[in-house]
Amino acid sequence: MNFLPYLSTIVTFAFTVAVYNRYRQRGGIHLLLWAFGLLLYGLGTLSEVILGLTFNVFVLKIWYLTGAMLTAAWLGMGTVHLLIRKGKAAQVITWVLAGISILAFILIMIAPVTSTAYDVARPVSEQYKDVFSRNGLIILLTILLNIYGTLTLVGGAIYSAFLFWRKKILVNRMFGNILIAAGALSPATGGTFLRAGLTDLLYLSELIGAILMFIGFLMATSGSSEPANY
Amino acid sequence: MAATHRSKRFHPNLVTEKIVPILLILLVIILLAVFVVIGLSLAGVIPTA
Repeated sequence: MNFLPYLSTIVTFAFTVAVYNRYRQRGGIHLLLWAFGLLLYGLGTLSEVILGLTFNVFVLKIWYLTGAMLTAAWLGMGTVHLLIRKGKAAQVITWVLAGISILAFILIMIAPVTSTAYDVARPVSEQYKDVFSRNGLIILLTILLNIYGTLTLVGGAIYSAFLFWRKKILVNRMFGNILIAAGALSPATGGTFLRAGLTDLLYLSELIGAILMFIGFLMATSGSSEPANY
Repeated sequence: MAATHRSKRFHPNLVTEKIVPILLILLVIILLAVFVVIGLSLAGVIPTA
């Protein structure tokens, strides 16, 4: 299963470039934030690739920071900007998230290393708890960031798909949003399995999530000439 | 189901009328299940991530 992070990294970085190119062509802060969230996603899977070859505490901490803490929240932040266009609420939440992200970075970097016994043949998800210790604030932030990210990203995609279905318009965006919601749920459920002790499924869930979201994004943006949304 | 490029509207068929709502409800259920597990983690019933 160790080859899966390689595929996830390739798919995710290709996805990142596609979204960033879309941002350069059409603008829209939501696209920029999605690209940033996908960059974090790719850094997380790239860290898994590196940790499958050699052990490095800094890479392990980057893996936890990007993969476990920040990716979902920043992807969800893009969706918040897409759905909340009036007022300053989206901007305020973005700055709050930026502050929390900096705090998370500091907390992870100063987290004490408790062991350097690391087996590169085993998934990082099985071992990270033994290598560096996370205090209560790190664990709380991890949970809150994932709740926020999953709720906004998945909830936003489901809500958008429902609107397109109810209005009977833009069938490509309706199915695209369904795929994005399913793709975003995949690593979220993988993380849930991780909590339940099923560590092997995380890599697979990341790959499935990246592929589904990429296909969903391509579908939602195909044949579209409208200025709004995707 | 195919949308005309001009109107962007599509004509409902079996897939869009029946399958899509089921898919959306299924996604909501999975989303809620994820939150239930996170809640159980917070409650200490299962180990925290």
